[in-house]
Amino acid sequence: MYKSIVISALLFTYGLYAQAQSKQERAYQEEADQVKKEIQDVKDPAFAQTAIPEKYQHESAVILALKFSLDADHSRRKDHITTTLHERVKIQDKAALEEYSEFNIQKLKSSSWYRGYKLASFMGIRVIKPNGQQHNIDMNDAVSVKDEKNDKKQKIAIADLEVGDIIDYYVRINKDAANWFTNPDPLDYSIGEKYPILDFSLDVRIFRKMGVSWRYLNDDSAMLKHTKEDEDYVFTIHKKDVPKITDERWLYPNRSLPTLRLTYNGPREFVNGVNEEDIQEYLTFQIISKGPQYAAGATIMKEFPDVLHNYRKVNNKPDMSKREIAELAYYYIRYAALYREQPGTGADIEVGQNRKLYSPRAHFVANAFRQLLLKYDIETDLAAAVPRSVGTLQDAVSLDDLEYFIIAKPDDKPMYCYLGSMFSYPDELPTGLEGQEAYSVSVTGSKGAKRESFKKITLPVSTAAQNLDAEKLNITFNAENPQQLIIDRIIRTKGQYRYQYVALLLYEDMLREERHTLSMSTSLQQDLYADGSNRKRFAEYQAAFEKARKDMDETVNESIAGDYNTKPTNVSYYKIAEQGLESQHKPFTMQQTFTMDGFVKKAGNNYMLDIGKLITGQIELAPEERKRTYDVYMPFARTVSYEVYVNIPDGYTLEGAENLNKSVINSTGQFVSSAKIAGNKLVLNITKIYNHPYEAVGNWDQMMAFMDAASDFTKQKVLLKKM
Amino acid sequence: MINIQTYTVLLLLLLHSVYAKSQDDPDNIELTSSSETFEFQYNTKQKQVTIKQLIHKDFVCNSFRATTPFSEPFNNQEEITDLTILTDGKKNKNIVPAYDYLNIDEYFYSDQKICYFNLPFLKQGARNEINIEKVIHDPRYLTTIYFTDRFPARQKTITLIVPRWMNVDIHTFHFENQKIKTEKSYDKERDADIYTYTATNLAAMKKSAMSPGPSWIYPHLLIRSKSADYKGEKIAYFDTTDDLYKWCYNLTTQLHPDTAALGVKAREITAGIPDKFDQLKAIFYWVEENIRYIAFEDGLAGFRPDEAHEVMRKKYGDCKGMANLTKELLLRCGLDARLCWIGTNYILYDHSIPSLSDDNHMICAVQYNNKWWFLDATEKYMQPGIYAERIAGRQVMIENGDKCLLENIPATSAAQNARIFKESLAVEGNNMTGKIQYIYNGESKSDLLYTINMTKKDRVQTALEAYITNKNSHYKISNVTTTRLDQRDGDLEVNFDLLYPDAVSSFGKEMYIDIDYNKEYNNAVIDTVKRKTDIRFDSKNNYITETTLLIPTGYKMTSLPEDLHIATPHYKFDITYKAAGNNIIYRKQLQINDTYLPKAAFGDWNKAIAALTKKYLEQITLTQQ
Repeated sequence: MYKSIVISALLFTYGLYAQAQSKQERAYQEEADQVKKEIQDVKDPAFAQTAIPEKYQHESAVILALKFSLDADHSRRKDHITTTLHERVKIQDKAALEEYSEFNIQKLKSSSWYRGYKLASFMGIRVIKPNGQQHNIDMNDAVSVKDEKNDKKQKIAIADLEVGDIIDYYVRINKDAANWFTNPDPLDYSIGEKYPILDFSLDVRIFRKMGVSWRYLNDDSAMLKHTKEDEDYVFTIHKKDVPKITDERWLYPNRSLPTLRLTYNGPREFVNGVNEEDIQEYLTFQIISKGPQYAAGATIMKEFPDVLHNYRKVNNKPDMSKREIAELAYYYIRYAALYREQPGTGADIEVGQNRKLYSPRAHFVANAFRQLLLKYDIETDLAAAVPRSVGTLQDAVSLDDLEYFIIAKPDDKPMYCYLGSMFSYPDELPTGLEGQEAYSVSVTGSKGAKRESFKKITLPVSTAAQNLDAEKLNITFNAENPQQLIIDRIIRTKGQYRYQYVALLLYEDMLREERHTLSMSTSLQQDLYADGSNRKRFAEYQAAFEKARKDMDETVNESIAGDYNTKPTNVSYYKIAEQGLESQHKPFTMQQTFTMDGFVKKAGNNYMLDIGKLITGQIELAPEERKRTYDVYMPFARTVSYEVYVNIPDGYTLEGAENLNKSVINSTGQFVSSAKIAGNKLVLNITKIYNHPYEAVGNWDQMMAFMDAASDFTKQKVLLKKM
Repeated sequence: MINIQTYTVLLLLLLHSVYAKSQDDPDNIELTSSSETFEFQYNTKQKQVTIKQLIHKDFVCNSFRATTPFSEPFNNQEEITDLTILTDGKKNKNIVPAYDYLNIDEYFYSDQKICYFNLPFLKQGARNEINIEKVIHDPRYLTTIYFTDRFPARQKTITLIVPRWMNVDIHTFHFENQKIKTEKSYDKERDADIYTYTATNLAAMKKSAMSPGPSWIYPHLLIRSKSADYKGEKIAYFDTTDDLYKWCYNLTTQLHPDTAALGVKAREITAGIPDKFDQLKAIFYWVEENIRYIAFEDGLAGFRPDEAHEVMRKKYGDCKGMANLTKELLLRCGLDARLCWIGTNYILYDHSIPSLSDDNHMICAVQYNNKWWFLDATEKYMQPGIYAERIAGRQVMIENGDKCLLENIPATSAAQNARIFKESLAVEGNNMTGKIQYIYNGESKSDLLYTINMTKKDRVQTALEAYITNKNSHYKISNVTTTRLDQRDGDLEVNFDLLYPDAVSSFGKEMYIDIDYNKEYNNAVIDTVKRKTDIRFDSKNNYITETTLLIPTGYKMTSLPEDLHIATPHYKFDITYKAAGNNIIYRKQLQINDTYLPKAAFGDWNKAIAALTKKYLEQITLTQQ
């Protein structure tokens, strides 16, 4: 009986839903027709074009015209953002045909009424045959891949589209959202596609009351026209013949391609860039003092004095300098915010790789840090900078472009305190902020003093010597099978390079080390939030720790296989000698012993060692990469070094060592290798250095010179000759 | 890139481990018991037989708290009527299952849906019980029932309640080496036979790369509903293969091809081609070239083909639509073309047990010169008479009026797929130079043509070079010429000149030469610890390399590696070295004869690969006179 009621109720609601759906569908259809008229009825000559210039006959596809428009409006407490992409593409091969033959559409998405979020998109597609005949794709042929009241997704396959045809399509997305919750998404539009564009245009209209901050980068500023029309700010760009983008390695679109950045600054004004006064106001008075408090903030303030006291006692350091205190505070906050389990009911126990990726919220940490240091009379500044991938400080268009961190002033040397992960160090910035300009402001002292202190600074850059990956290899030929190598490998890394080895650390060991270094007086169970009434959790943690340790064998194997492009035959020893979690400790050091097949060739009674293959991870540039158009943006300057000892087995001599001496040194970097025979060992030393994180495109040839030398070296061989 | 197969093996083995890692720890979440009950029922109102399916799964968390995704598939023939979740014995109302289309990349569209949600296990020892009630509206759609699950199970019970008015065959597969207890009893009240299968200690079903389809490897039942006779109401299902055929065929009789439009197109394609076989080829190639393959699995679980003229208009279709268009165009040429239903080698069975699980593909067959030619346009670059491994040797059900024809697609041998590299090499200083010719046949040809034709036009040259050189910029090639890359007939040839600097290693008076650049199957070892399932290779690869190396003046050959001969029913590796005058002749042939490599053969495979890999490391020594 109960069941039949449920079923009839379901039928009833289904009926209602079906009715509502058809109404919704009718409204959608009406709007779709409207949009179609609006876009396709405009007689834009760029979208009538069919001819391809001779120079582009061999391209996979050519974009005859591309128009991007954005219209931002505000009414009834809602932002209405309309974006339209209209593209007309000549399909010149099957690869392009495949790419343009199917489209996904998020037809509709809305969320509960109180957020007022609603998205609807409309698409129109037309195929133009070489003889000029054209047909429209019926969007009713689209199939649903998600069909719920508030979430409709569709897919459409383009009928009768062939190589040689032109596809002319648009996508219009209408987005409505209540503005009291968040601002509409900012715009970062970089001009350039993987196919050449014959005619590019951009048209952005923003209701003046919404205010706009904007920047136009990497192009003649005259290319961007901006005007005021009626109630709107209008931006337009029109470009002819935009080349395709081919550089993919070490490219930041925002640093190299013409880019329009734009945000809504509230009912303010028209600003090129971001208003410096706003930043000052925000930095000085808003994010720190008014910013939300960190949940663990109170505990941090309460607990740190004990931690400090205990640390002094255990390490017999009654007199700690302000700098030492600030460093301890940094590690303590890192521990409290990331290592330690936060009170609450975690549904999962996560001690595997994901755990190590936890990151804190910058505002909270900065605030906790400031308050804590204040207790010990250590002054702090708050700094804000724009990541390199986004642009320069001048390229910011909103406060959201900025990253915040504290600069402690324990002595006359500033201490940069950016806390991004469990592995961050005090006085080390993330690579994205290195060398960038930053605003800084004192967050201690009077209001006036704070105002006074506001200034621009330049952040330090780590050097190639600081970011080191040093590998020491001791190579022995297996006495029973000389074609098998026994490799003892020690990797030591410093600086930014150490992040590459995060996957090889175990959270359990990290936690133990940090508890020990900080001399925590809490129990492990307490720190895992597995004490008292939660004590049963501890057994689960132990089980999860055990599993993570077991899984590590596989991770190590895969990591070696990844480095050498060959699976190790056997890994007999693996140890993290140093985790490198704190900058005052020894750097990250890892030891491995494994056997490898495939590196020794047999030639009669002699053996030939592919010694170059031991120098792993060298970049072999693809032919299309050799011609470069844009500047080179790498994450950081760096040094990689190898110290290789090859034990020459008894009864053999080693030949060919003299061929291993190579040297390419120029202003961008170097590859230098030197070899000598010392007793029964071949000793090979290699240093490869990228001098700078950035090189102008003009220096690409120099970079290629030492990168090629390194790549060539991987082909080197030496001979073990039977005596 | 050239030894794609080798890389695939390695890559996939690596991927497998990554995949396994991203899955739940099998020891952590386990099924303490799992059962599925299927009861045939007669719906007197609709006068049809339905099947009520009850699923019960009882999970336990063995070591630490975790959340795991759960999903249950359904479709238009199979409805979920009830679902309850008990977490630690209490009804869990917080979990709201989502019902959605299954979105898989390979399919443009599928009417397969899933019901899914996350199951939380809040502490060690936590339990979740799931009860699902389903209705299968047509007994034809009850086909396979598997014992294995995504999770390991301590026990799995499958029960079938078959009233005596229902005529059902139950076929069992892969019960050997499993602990499965079979019982049969009679329920008087229901007047039904009850079949119960109880399996214990089942390992989790894990996806691993290059695996044969599940029907080849996992224990399961295949249910075949033959007929029903409920109080005189008789319904026939799949008693004979012809019943299966009629059901499939009936779906095609509802098609109404626009014969006029198809005729115009057929005449256009074959204009100026008098020979019937040439017409056949022209039509087949036109469909291969012009119709994009898009997988639709819609309507009646994907058995009804789209109208031929619609496929022709849209220029895309799935296998059914492409087969149908091929057939209709060939008919317009006066050829005897038919639709065929076929199970690819993904499926274990042929049509001897009539079931909807027998077929997963459709192709077209043409009777020409008293011979059947099977045309599968989804292969894109295949010639008539050359068969892809997935359909070669498989049984096909050919459309033939009221009664179907059962034929087998000709079995292929590795000879069909010969890929021959002819290299004429010389030594200049420390460099290797040479003239090289690559000849591709069969599947090696269609694979390469497909890859090249799907590459961007402006990158074809570099892509082809990257393919030849294995992306090694030191292996410099020039004067690359090819036969036409849009041509399906004849050999595909690539000719080029080689300059390979420092390929020769000289130390003192000796010169060491690595004569084989393309080391197919190098290191293609199977990880026997991790690999749990048999392997199915894509095709019967047949790599032949014939190299003549001219010994430079002033040098003589002082050592040649020994020959290698390994032959098993599955594969053959042959390498020979010969000195002939001032030449060294190297010949290599690596040939897969049987693409199904069972676990029992892994040990031998690994030994053979080890020997081959070692052989690849052996050098030819030349000494200055």
